[in-house]
Amino acid sequence: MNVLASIPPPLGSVLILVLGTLVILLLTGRLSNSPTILATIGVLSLLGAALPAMGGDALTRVSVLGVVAAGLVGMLLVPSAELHNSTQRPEVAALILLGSTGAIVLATAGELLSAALGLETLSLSAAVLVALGRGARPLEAAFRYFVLAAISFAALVYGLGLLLLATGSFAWPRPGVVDPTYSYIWTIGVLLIGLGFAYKLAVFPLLWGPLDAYTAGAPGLAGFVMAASKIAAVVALARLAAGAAVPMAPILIGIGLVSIIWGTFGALAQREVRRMLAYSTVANAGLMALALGCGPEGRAAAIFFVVIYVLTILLAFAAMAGRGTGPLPFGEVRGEGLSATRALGLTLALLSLAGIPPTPGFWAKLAILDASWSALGFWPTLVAVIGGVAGVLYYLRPLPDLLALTRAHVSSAPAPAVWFAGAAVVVLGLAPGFAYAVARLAIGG
Amino acid sequence: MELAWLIPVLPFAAFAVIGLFLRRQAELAGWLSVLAIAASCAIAWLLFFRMLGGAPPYEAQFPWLALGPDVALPFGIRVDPLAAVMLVVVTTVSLLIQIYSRGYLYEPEEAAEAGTGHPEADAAHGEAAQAHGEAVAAQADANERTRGAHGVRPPSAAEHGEHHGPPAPLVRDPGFGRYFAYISLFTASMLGLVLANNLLTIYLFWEGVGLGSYLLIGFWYTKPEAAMAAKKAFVTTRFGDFGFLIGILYLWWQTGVLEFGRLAELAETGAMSETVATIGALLLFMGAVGKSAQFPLHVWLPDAMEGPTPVSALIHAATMVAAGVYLVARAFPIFEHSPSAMLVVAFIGGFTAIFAASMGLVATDIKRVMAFSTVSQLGYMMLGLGAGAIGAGMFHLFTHAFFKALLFLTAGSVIFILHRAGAHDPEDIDPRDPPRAQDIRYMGGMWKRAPITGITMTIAALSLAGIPPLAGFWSKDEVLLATYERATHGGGAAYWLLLLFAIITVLLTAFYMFRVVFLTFAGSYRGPADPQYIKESPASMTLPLLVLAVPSVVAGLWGAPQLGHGFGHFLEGADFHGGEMNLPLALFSTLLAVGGIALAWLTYKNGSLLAMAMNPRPSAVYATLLNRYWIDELYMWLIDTFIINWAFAIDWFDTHVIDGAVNGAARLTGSIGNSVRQVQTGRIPAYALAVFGGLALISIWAIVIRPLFS
Repeated sequence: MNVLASIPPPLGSVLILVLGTLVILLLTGRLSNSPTILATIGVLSLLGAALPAMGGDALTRVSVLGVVAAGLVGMLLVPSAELHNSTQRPEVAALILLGSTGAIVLATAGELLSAALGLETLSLSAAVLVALGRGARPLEAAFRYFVLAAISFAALVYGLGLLLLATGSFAWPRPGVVDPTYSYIWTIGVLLIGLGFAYKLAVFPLLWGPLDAYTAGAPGLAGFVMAASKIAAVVALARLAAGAAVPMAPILIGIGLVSIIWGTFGALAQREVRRMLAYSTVANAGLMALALGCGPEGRAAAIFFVVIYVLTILLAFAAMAGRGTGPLPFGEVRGEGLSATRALGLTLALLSLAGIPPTPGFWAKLAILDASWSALGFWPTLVAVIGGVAGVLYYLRPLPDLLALTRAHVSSAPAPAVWFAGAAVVVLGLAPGFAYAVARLAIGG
Repeated sequence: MELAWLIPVLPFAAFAVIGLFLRRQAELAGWLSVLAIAASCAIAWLLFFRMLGGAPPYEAQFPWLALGPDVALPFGIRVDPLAAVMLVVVTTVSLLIQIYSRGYLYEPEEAAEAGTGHPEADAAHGEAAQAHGEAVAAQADANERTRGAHGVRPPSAAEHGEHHGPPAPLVRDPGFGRYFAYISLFTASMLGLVLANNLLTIYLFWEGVGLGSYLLIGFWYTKPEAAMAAKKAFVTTRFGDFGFLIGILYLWWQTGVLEFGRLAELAETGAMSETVATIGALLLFMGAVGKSAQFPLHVWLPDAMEGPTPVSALIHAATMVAAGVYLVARAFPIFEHSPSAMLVVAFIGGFTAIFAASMGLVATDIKRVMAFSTVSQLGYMMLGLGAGAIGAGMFHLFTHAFFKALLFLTAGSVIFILHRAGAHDPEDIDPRDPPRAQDIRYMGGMWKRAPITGITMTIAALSLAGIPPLAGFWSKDEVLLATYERATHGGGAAYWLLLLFAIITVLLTAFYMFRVVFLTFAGSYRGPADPQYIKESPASMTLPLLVLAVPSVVAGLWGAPQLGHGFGHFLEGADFHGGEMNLPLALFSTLLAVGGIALAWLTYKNGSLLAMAMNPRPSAVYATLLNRYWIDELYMWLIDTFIINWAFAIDWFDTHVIDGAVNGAARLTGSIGNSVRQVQTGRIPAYALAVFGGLALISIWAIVIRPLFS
């Protein structure tokens, strides 16, 4: 018992996830024909992983719960995931657990080397999860994602080296500890590390790999990749920005604003739901980056935002899961025969993404606008508001079509995932206060 | 008073139940929706009479999102005379319109098959049609799915030359249940908006109202025009909303409060500086300009007529468009604190009034005339508020809600009757023309065939034109008087100009309204339908018309100066200081209205000018008005140039340049790797060179970058 109690909370979560991964990998042969048992093992591992984290600090709890939520939705969609070969389902489940492990390590790492390991674990799982989708497009997208991930990881490793040179340790940077002689090396190191993390956030100019991955992968798996990456990246960047605000903040704000504009315009040109969502993710990543550059209030807003955003995007992807990896053109949403549950789920997600009150997306945007206004004043906030207003142009395009709710012919297999994510979104919309309080606590504000 | 929360909750519950369980139970859905709004309506009237009896305002709120230890965003409601008036208007009009909708949402069977149909069923037809409707429900479903994909309708009986065959039987619109879910959602949001006691809550419902309107305008969403119009409405109003949201944040940052009551205190005691009040008020006003379709964001309302006519009557006459006026009235102390903001409000209002009326002169779509008229009348309301008379602005909102809803519903009745009688569009119809069943050039002679519709529309038109003693006369007179008072009491030249605008608008309004009345009801029928099938609408439609005609006549008496300014005293309490009626002004505006009607009679009824009026010479003025001053084109050009082109440029960049670069890099790596593999493998010096070379590069970089950071 003493031994168990002495394990740090995040490590406990990681151990349970690794255990779950091992069980699934050992039983691959048996599990490939019984997706329900497979999903059950996966869900239990994830739920188990959430438990030890409850003993940790607020940031640990937020990050682990967020990642676990992403993993749960992904896992619930494994039985219906569109794969090349259905015998790969156990692999997919194992990769989700492994990816969750990586995301948790990245978000809760005590020092930067572990964070880098977590990042790489997440990247590899993500690339393979995308690649396993049915068809040629996922493979190509996964390759692109992987190449760009490798480049950004290389930058991160360089950054680690420079930081080690400047400070003699892999500890998270803190202000005032660096010898002035090495301050420029330290600065470059911090920025390169930030670049590595930012790739997972998919901000400009690191958006192209993730863009394709989100568009082409099997929806359920792409949703998991997106969600787990975002939450881990925001938490990691929040830690980095807390300790190295001087070089990070202006750059985060700058790339945030550019991302908002780039993502908004990009999404406007799209004619199908999935790529539109992928682009809008860039705009949303921009909002988060902007907030991360706005001091403690801003970082709390970013955490609050990412939790809500992740659940919303999971809802959207869960609603689209099970119908193939192809695009979902605006005019043909109805023809795709989404069941009523899924159509309503997607509608809710789109409304939340568009920031229509009282959906949680509205509160999330409001928190960021508030933080940005108090830290940066009118003009940057204006860009963020315009991005939000323009968002309506693309988010609501499929809506009338979706709400016609004609009878569906697609299986209702993803329904549990839709219900889970949908319930989370509804609760967060009606009672956002708790999540915001936790986010503030996590940032120590 | 404690029951106030039920008013929006009941329709919302109806929305939820219909949306979740009753989508296919059309009949039940319709009744549930009507019952919910009837109950809300009863409560609203109850509250209204209690307020009238002198009950104190009721307010309740709780913190929703705590942003810090002592900062919380509130959710709250407030019932005061202002809210009570709006509640009564919204619930009553909504109830009548929902009853009307139950009759309206039918379409001829062949049209249902072809997917371009319109509503309809008459009482006699109705029963059979409804029975028939159930039987074809499944097929209609399929039709709905493919509607619009067909695009071209098969030739109708009329086009085959069988002019004497009876028109096709009617089936219920396949989206019947969906319609009532949307309309309940919309009504609930509107009622929440009315009850809101703070800026955040009002914004929340404000967006809900916008969403409801989006869904309802796009109800026939497979019709490309409807989908476009819905988007245009939402986006245009959103443009105003973004100012509204910034305004909320701004006021919050400057004052730390969101409640209207506390903001009013700050403004009235001078704790809020005039600069803050001006900026805050103008930002809030942006939202109002969008929602109330004021210049320059008026462009969405005429297009929004693509929605079902009852929707136009509800949203675009009585409720949503009035929300902008209501917002200004709610935040009135802030506006009052800033003379420049007041002038802006008055100017936008006065200009919109005359500007929209001018476009109404030439529109040929009966619903679009009504739409321009609404924009123009909303301008009057804003003018009244901007002149400092909250009572005048709100009084005009109050009376206008009844007679404009009536006008829309009578227009709907006309369209419905003609549609049922088989007024099909020719194959070669000019795409810029409205459908024949809506084009007043192809109407006429309906007076005897549809007497209830005719009489009620005439009453509403007289009321709108401002003929005493109908409702519109009293409220319009208050607005003119308020402008006049402001002009003579320090308002300056600007208010004299606005008074001139307002007076000219009286003439224009009377003219365009009676142009519609005469072209529709006088003379003989000029359209493609067989006149023998033109007969009055079913009772479910004519009953609401008759009921609405009553307030269109008498509602104005409540605020009449001779009868004690009841409305003003109720609304403003002790603050009210309404003057006597200015008899010369009232007389003059009445004369102008009569003149406008006479002019319309000479032009369209008498016949002497008919030919010219039907085929106006293409003059520059006429073309400008018909094309709505080309403002839509200007906006489209701006959007294309500054948004769409950029969007496609970014899309192109991402798909071609970036993808190309990544793929190219991969190919390059692959081919280089292949060619040098055998030569380079395992050579340690090369690795060392790479490592040290890299280090050298970074050192140079660091030295170059160093000055930037030190």
